[in-house]
Order: sequence, then structure tokens, then C-alpha cells
Amino acid sequence: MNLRNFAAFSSLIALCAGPVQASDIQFSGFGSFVAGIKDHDNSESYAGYRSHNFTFEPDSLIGLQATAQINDKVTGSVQLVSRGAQDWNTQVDWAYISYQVTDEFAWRIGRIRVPFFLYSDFIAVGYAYPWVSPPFETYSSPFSNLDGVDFIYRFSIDSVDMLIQGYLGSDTFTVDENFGSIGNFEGEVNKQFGIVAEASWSDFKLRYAYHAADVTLTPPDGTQLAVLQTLLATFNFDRTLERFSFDENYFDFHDIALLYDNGSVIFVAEATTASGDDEIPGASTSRSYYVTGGYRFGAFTALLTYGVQDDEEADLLQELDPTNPGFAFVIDPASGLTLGQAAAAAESALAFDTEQYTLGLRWDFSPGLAFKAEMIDHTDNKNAVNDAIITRAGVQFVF
Amino acid sequence: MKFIHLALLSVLFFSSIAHAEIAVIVHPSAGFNDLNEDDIKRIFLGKSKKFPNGASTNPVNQSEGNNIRDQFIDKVLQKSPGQYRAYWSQLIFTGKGSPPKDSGNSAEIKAMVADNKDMIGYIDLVSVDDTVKVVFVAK
Repeated sequence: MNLRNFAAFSSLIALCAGPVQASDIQFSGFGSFVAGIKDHDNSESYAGYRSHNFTFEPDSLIGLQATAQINDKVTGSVQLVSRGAQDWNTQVDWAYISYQVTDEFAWRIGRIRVPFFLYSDFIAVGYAYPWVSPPFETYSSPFSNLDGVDFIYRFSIDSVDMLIQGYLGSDTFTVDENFGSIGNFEGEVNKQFGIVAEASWSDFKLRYAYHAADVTLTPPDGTQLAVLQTLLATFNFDRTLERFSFDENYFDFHDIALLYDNGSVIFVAEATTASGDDEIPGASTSRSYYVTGGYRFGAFTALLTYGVQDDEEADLLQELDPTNPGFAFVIDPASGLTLGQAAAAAESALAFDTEQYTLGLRWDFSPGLAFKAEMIDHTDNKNAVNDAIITRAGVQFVF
Repeated sequence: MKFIHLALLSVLFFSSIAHAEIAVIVHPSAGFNDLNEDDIKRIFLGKSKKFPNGASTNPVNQSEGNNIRDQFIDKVLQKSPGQYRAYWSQLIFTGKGSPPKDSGNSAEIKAMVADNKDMIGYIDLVSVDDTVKVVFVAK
């Protein structure tokens, strides 16, 4: 039994066990029903949208949470989420036992979300944030949960309220086709740990997070990446092979975010950088940032966002030894593509250089229920074919 | 014309409700006599688990449907009902906190606060008596 099953199992036991009265179990939930469309058909998906047909899949989901107070200090909690993007299969997003040691300090064991970004803990709860979903340039990670332990420590220094969270854990995951062009293979993350520090003062919040992990990604046999790996190994391009092997690739990740919200003006800025000892699935160093400004008038909030992903890519044609016979080895006789060119092209395909503008409107027409509409103008600076305009609108709610 | 009268009447009606004064109350034995708006905000938004003097705190809300609750959220917490709901959604669904428990109307909150040394609540100022201590008044 792995830890995830164990946590879900114990939480369920906690929920069903005799001494727990029904009144001690709190049920709550959330959902999003959003339809969107891309301005043209394109094989490359952006934010989950790939065709000029209305679809509910990328941004629709429903979640249910049950929390049981086991005693004064111990709580069990399970959160199940069904996503349109995953054919409405139900996943366990959270399942943990929490032990509140003091008012300020709590341990949790079980399945939690990785607190990569400012909004990642509640990324499924669209009602809780301004956009339909947070800016895609920053909020795209091949995995988002882990099984492990964490602690949350809150304290105040004068009028500044602090929250420190630390975690340790591991997970297995599938990289799906929505995560760039390398898509659809199995991955594993081990020895992942991280620390988050949040300071809130008046209408400001400043957050910094550091995460590190060993990530292993295994492309299935026959994919271009697997073929590339085999050929690089055959010709002893050891260093370049290392770049594409993603085997226990140690990566580290920094995130810094600033939030200002005084009730009528909202401003959010967040920047990330991720680098690996080989390659991040993407590039040597992946960088992104976004800024969002919004203004609320009555029940309406108007929002403008600018976001960028700008990965650093290695020059593999420089790195590969041109005197090695493998460099000019033709791997595709039809096009005359050589191994050197294929490696350089793969490196380039894994590194993104994109930006977006989003114009959005949120209408809080009833407490617990919001209508949102957005238009995203996405530009791919390396490949204009991928430029797209996404229009999406729908409701997001909590109950 | 009728419509304008109606609109005027409703403005007068709502502004008279909006004039109710809200008293933030604690147990008479609390070791302090005043809290400022920021202290109260931090306690009711779950950002601070303690009173400024270091004592533990247990905030309670008026139940939904009580006008005093909406006014407190608006005037003291400076949030619309939707913003208040969105704020707590961020904590509820991440296991990082739960909102102050809905505990009834002014009379019920007053009785609870009078009985519990760590409790803090808010009631209509006219309901205040010497069973509780007023630490802040929102107009």
C-alpha cells in the first residue's frame, strides 16, 4: 500500500469510524463549467485548447471535500476532483491527516498539492482567484501533487503575519500532451522537498518558495525522444545524451510573488526560474513571469494580464563534436536530417519563448458563484504557427 | 416619477440600516480594553491566531442572513460577500484554515462571548450589556 492509498484509507476510516458524529464531518465543494474555443485548428495545444471547436474539457471540473474533526487536534481530510481534461476521471488531490500541535504549528501526512506557485494549492478552485485559470506561462508543471509530510507554522511579527510551510515527499505522474510537444510519458519525482515563506501585511502579501527534487522521465520506445537517446548513446555523445536523459535529474525551482488587494484594486506579479543539472523537461533554465492588474466596480472585476515564458536553450550544434561520424549521420533519408540537426531541433522544441496578453472580466453575481469571461492572445516567438487566440467563458462556484 | 420615489425610499431605507453600529466584544476578563481595526481583521481572516497581548483567540461569526454580519464583513473586513467567500475558499480547500463558526444572532453571540474567555464576536451596539467588554465600535 503506498502512502497515497494509506492516507486516503485512513481518512476514510476516520470519516466512517463510530466515534465521529456526522455533525463533525464537513462537506464542501467547488466547480468550474467553462467553454472555450481557439481561433483556428492547430496540433499544438495552448492551455489545453487545440481546435476551433467549443470545448468544455480543459477548464471544467468538479471537486468535493470531506473534513472530519477526529479530536481537538487531529483532522482528516479528503478532496476528490474530476476534471474534463482527464475524461472526468476522479483523482485524489488531497488526502491527509493533520495534527495541530499548537495554534501556530501543524503537521500533515498524506497526499498534498506541491505549493510551487502562489495559487497552486487551490488551482482547482477557480472561484478563489481572479482568472478562469492562472497565467499558463507560469502555471504549467508536469506534476502537481506528492505523497509525503509537511508542516505549517504561522506567527506574527508586529503587524506582519508570517506563514512558513515545509514539505518532503515523492510521486509518480504522467506528462500529458498538454505539457508541450514532448508529451505523454511516465515520470517519477523523488526526494522532493521545498520551503515556502509568506508575509502578509495590510493589503500586501509577499511569497517566496524554493523547491528541489530528483525527476525521472522515461519516454516510451519508438518516440522521437527515445530514438534520439539511442542514437546519441550509439555515437557516444555522452554529454548531450545526459541532456536528454532526464534520469534522476536534480532540479531546483524558485518562485517569488507579490499580491496587493485592497478590495477595489488588485495587483499580482509572480516570477519563476527552474534549472536542472541536465535539462528541465523544457530547457537548461526555464523562466517565466506575469503581471496582472485589476479593478473592481461593484460586482464586476476587470483584469489585464501579461505573461512570458523565456527558456534558455543550449547551442547543441556548438556542443556536439563535428568530427564524430554521428554528427552527420542521416537519421531521416527523406529530409536528409542529420543527428546533429535533430538534437539541436529537439533542444529548441523543448525550450519555450512565448508570451500572452489576457483581458478578463469576473462578475460576482451571487455569493459563491462567479461568471468569468476571458480572451487570451498567445504569441509563440519561435514558431508563429502556434500563435493563437483563446476565448473562454463560464461559471465557477463553491459550496 | 413613482420609480424615482421608490428608489429614494430604498436609499433612505438602506442607509438607515447601514447606520447600525457594530460592537466587537470579548469576555469581561480579557486583559485588554481596545483592539484596532487591523487586529480584528487579522483575527477574523485567520491570519492571526492570537490577540495582540499573546492570548489565544476564538472568533465567531454571526450566521448568514443577519444584517450585522454583512455590515461587519463590509465595514471591518472591507470585503464584499463574494470576496469574503473567495478568500476563505483559498484556505478551506487547502487545509490552511476554516472561517469563524456561524454562531447565531447578536443575543446568541453575546451569551457565548460572556461564557468563553478566548472568544471574540460582534453584535449590534444596542445589545451590549456588562456581561461582555466592547473593544471596538464600527460605525
